[in-house]
Amino acid sequence: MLAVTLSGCGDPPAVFVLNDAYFAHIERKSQTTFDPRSREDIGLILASTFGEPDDPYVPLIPDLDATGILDLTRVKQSSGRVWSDKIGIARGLYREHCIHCHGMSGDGLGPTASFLNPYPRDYRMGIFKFKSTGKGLKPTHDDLVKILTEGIPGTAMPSFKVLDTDEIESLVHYVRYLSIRGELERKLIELLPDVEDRLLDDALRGKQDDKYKAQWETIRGTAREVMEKWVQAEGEVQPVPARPDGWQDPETMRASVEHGRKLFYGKVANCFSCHGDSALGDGQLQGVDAWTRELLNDKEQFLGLAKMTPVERDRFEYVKSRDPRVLPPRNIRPRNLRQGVFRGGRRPIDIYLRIVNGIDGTPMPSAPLLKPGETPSPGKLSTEDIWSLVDYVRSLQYESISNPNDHEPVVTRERL
Amino acid sequence: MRLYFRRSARAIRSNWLWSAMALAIVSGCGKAPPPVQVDMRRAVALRADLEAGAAAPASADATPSETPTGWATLKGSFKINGSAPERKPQAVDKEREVCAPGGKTPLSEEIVVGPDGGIRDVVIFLASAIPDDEPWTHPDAKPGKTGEVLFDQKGCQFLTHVLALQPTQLLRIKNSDPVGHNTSLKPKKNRQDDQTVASGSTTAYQAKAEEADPFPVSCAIHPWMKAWLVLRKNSYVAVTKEDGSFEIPNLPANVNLEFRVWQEKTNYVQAVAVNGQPQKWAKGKFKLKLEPDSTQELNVSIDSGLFTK
Repeated sequence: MLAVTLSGCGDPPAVFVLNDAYFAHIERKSQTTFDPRSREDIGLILASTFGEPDDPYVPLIPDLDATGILDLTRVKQSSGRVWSDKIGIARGLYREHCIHCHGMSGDGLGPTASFLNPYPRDYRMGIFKFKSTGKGLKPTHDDLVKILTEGIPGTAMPSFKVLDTDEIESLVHYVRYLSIRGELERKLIELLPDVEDRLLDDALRGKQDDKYKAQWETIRGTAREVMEKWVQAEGEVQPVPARPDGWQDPETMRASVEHGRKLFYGKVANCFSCHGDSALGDGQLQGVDAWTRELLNDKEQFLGLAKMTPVERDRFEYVKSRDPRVLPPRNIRPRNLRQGVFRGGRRPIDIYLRIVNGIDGTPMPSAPLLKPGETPSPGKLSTEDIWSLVDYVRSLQYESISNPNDHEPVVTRERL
Repeated sequence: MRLYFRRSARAIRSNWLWSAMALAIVSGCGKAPPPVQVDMRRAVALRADLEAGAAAPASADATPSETPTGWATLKGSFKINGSAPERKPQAVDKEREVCAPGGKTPLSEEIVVGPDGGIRDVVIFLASAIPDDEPWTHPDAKPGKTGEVLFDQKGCQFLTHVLALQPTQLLRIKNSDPVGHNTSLKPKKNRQDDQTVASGSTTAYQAKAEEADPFPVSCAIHPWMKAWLVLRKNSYVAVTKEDGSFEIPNLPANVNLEFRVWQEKTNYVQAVAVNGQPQKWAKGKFKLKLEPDSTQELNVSIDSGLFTK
């Protein structure tokens, strides 16, 4: 008993945790009962394809060059326990810098997770918000480097500028490793309702080789599907056309801000409908992000914990009973644009990309951008229109209502 | 968390030593479900099998052992057995002048039952993977259809609640409302997309591949809005009309075919009565062999209890 008590505490074992919440989600959604061995099967497949936290592995998929996205040497530098070798190279970077929020498995369920708002990112869905590629596409290598070096303002994600370039590179590979591993796990779970017999049964090896090979064929195809998208993303950066000279001239800027304001409240860009009539981020308070939507049976609308419907509560309690680490659902709020805090970065190009591409995993859609060569129509926005929106959004923090102390007597505020 | 506290409280009453141990276990850690025990040596030994094998995934169209002779039609209806479930009003919290015209809040379309019990928007499709040419696929049902399919929205409702099309067809997304919308598509295989659609404007989405399951379409500005798209490579798919009726013509005859039936509220429809006989359709699947040049009737009734769960 004493041994049990002691072994339960201290350092948890370095193992990847199965995505039991998603298991529960898919099992209930498909109204099936999975083979009781399927948890072990998926554990075995993942250990075979990606190894374990102390000894990661990158599978060689025939005809897919994935070294640019998953370099095993770089992955290994970030894996395992924290130490540094004789020549002073830091090892175990993920456990030193990331694990307390993002968790051993990259599930965003590290010990600090429940104290944070927003919750740390769960990489396993394979969705990343702040990137230079279009909606539905993976981020590029440079996008992830930027997040690590700059951090995410307004969240608990700090900047890691103090790390060496090599260390950042290694961590980027490791984050991608966890994301690909986690997404493969999800896709394997999604296969379970329709799988004949089992996903992988290595007892068939040498006995029913055709069946056994077909099982690996499916697994390999699924891994390829996930990894390919990361490889392709490197070539899918959204072009950002340069602005015509003179845009910083005060008169030009004032006109652009004014044009941006009209677009912001217009029916084409339609920004106000979520960001609110005063751009305070209060126009749509019932939205949820992709990570939360799953907990709510893929519902887009959530009135909050206090107003949970019996169906939603039952659903959440069920998933939690299967995976007690799951955190309570929260609404996602549109950004309050008057604070001057932009999570994906405050440079004009950052805001341009957020508007044009939307933000993956969130309700923020991509703008109706006029494509090159397309005839202008009233329902589309030109690149100049987008730049005006950027200018307007960037000007909001300097308006007087963004700074209450400019025009409210201190006494009034204190009484409130 | 609450569960653990309750457990430890009960333990205190019975035995303080146990409770102290329980507290130690609970407070420190030990909350996660048991990790899967993997034998790493076994896992490593399997890597050769993972990395061997064909470069490209095997084609889904393995040559079937049967050969169809002629064509047949499957038609029928889906009706409710029992009283129609109540349709709840949508939680319309903004732009009510457009989204609740005349002060009337639109009703949920999760389950829509007609006056004579017909269920609208039930999807029935051929799930068997079949070759794309004759004698398996009739010229009228062939993959590769082109042109546009209109998908419109008005009164903050998608005008087609369930829409079936081929991945080669262009989905023309239209906004006929005086307010802006955005149309978020969440397929599994194809690229997910989410574009702003200005008032009175249109945008387009081109899929690339077939989807195994219907997938949702939504609007973040008006989160009660919901519709479903069914992307199938051939035209052997039907969505039931207002009266619950459907018809799939030109199906290959004299071969075993597997169909799947889906409805928004129940997901794949598992328990039904076909032409009066109760049947279990595991995961919504059932098999049929059609006589050449025949019209097979499939009149299905579903217990209303399945829609209120």
